[in-house]
Amino acid sequence: MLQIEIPKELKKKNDVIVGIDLGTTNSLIAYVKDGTPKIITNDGEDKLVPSVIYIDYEKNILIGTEAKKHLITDTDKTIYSVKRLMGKSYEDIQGDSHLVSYNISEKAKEGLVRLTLAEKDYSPIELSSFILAELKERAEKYFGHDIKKCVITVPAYFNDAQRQATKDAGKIAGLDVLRIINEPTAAALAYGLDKNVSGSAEKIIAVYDLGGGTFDISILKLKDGIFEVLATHGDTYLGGDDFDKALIDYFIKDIDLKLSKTDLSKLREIAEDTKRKLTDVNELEINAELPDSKSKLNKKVTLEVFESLIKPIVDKTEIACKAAIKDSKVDLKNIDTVVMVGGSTRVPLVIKTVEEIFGKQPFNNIDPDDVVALGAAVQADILAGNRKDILLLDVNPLSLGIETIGGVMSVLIPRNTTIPTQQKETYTTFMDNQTGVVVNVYQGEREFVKDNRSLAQFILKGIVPQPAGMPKIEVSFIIDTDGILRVRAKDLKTQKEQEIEVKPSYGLTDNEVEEMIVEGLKNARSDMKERTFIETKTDAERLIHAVEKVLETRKESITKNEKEMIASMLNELKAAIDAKNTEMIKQLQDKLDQETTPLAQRIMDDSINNALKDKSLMEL
Amino acid sequence: MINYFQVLGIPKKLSIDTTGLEKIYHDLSKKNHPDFFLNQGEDKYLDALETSSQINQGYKTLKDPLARINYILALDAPQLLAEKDNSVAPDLLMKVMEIQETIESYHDAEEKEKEAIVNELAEIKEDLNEDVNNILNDINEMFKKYDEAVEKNEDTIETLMKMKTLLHKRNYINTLIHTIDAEVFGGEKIKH
Repeated sequence: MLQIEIPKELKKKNDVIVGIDLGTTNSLIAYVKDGTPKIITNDGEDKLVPSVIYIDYEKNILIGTEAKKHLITDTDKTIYSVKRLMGKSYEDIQGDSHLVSYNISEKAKEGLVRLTLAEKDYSPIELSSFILAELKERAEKYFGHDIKKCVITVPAYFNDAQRQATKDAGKIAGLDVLRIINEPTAAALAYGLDKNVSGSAEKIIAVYDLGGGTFDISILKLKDGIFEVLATHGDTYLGGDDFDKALIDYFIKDIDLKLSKTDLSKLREIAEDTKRKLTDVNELEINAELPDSKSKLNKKVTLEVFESLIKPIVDKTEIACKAAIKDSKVDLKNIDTVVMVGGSTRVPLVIKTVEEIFGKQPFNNIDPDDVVALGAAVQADILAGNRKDILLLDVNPLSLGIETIGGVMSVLIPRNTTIPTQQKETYTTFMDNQTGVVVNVYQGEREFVKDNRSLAQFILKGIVPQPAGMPKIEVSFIIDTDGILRVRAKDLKTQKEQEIEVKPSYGLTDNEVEEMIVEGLKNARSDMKERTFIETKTDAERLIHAVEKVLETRKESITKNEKEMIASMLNELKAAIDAKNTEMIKQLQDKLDQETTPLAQRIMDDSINNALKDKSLMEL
Repeated sequence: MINYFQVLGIPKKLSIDTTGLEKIYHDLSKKNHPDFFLNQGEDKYLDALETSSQINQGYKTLKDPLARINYILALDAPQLLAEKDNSVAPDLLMKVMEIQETIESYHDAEEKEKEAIVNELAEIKEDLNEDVNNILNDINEMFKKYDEAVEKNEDTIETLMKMKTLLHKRNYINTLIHTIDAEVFGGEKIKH
């Protein structure tokens, strides 16, 4: 029998693809409507979802503004800036003074770092997936249907492990991550559209992106609708958080007491607030008391002091900018536009520094908080097939290489190579009848592999036993459009695909991701339960309030019996709310509704009669 | 080896109009980039990844004149590339020794004597830069010769050999310039 099947891709053509900016401090979600990117807000209110996660002992999860409320009071249950830990090992973060108020798990000392929230350990990937799930839900509420496909942005200088971690977080959140794109490139897309940079006129733009935890600089050429990244540089451990840290150190210089995590959280809040206010005023008086140690903080911070504190941090960005300009082979004077992205570019010293580096006034016409998400939405629109006129050509930020004799790094793909790109290497055996070959891959710019970051170990397996040097296996190292390495191997004699086992050095295996997806679904269910309870509770409380008001204001229309019956039902309902019994609340709500309907009818009639009483027939 | 001239659909020549090449690169990218093949199944997507990689590498190789020469050498005369010829022309060798001595004397000199030596080195550097320019002009001549030979179907090996010698000389002088910069003018040390 002949069956006609509609190809999958046709059915899916009208799916909405969203763009997500998974930020260190705040996250946003956007989509393109009629050719224009728009941020999806929470009922028209907040655009930003603070990247803060709260998990309690009952595993109730709160994300964003709600979680942020617990930041100072529940330091054991909340976490912020989790992006800083993406793709990092326990080893990596030792001695990192930034993380004093983080609850790093001491149980997971090998492999990826884990964080303890309410005595349970989570990986930064899982925690990021909670934020993504929240954004997903926000979009689903807005569109009224499921959202699956997305583009997520990452700092341009993110390495392979950090990119893969972000992709895995998306998967765990139930998202199909079609593309990972670089934040500065996304910003350029948003600006490129805004300023209608099209046609064949060539334009060179520099994107200076200083966020909460990361810094990127990218130099791009815009021509024929192509956004070609010429070079990128950055620091994935440099951002507004460091400004806060510098201020905290300044605040506690004269405090001898040992500060608790709660105190440090409070200090962080004060520091963040001080930083923000110093964009408008030249000095600030700080008077606060720390919740635990009861130390008094009375300090005056002038803009001058603040700038001297953060200057060493801002200066680091200058070094990265110069390196990027050099790699791009563009003359500084030929850079047409400098664009600023990220909340930290509101700091006056940053603006001044950017002006000095590039010798021109930078643009910040688009809200620096929004621009990355808007650009991600544009890329999503391209992937949806709605735009054929524009295209991003990005580069890999770090050199990719393999270990050769003496532990020397042999570069296969140098940094700032346009992606996708690939390089082929042929491997053979050193011993007779050897059936496996191990290839260690690294990322970084240093001469020896030990100073670079191990990316993964690839094991070529099942080689047919032969004398040494006889097998010829061609390995293709492909950096895909996400900036993530894919490896394929082929036996050159048989032209057959060669089996490879991949052992990521700082990532999750496919199995681990699968497990987390299952775990995530379980969490989602307990999440859902909590949510239904909250919604039911809100409804019930509204009803209680309304009925009580009627009992109060319409005494004359209600009999004593009725009043007693209603009062007892209200008490039952209140008890059910206290017991968090969602089912019971619903039943009692229905019952109350039924019992009060005749009463409501009578009250209505009474009010109409009252209203009519004084009117003449003429007025009717 | 992948033929990048074929990938980009241009005739095999050493003289290339880079603006035209860029246009070709952009048009090909808009046709073949994997971003446009996401909805068309895994196979087509992987094909696009492969094609797009070749286009990117082809453009990178052919847009830069020096990378272009090396590529043509690898394509036409791999035996030439395999020969490791590290010999230095006698006239250059004299210059190298002179420069090394001058740099040494700079390091040993008293502060007040240094200025004169710096001036001397600046002059040497200027000469070297002129040498590089002359070599680049010679290489340009070779470009024309090569392209004519290809067109007439003549042998190109002699031109390629001359080109390789010129390239070698140019690289050598560039290293010298970098050494002077690093030792005396505070430039970045180059990595080997």
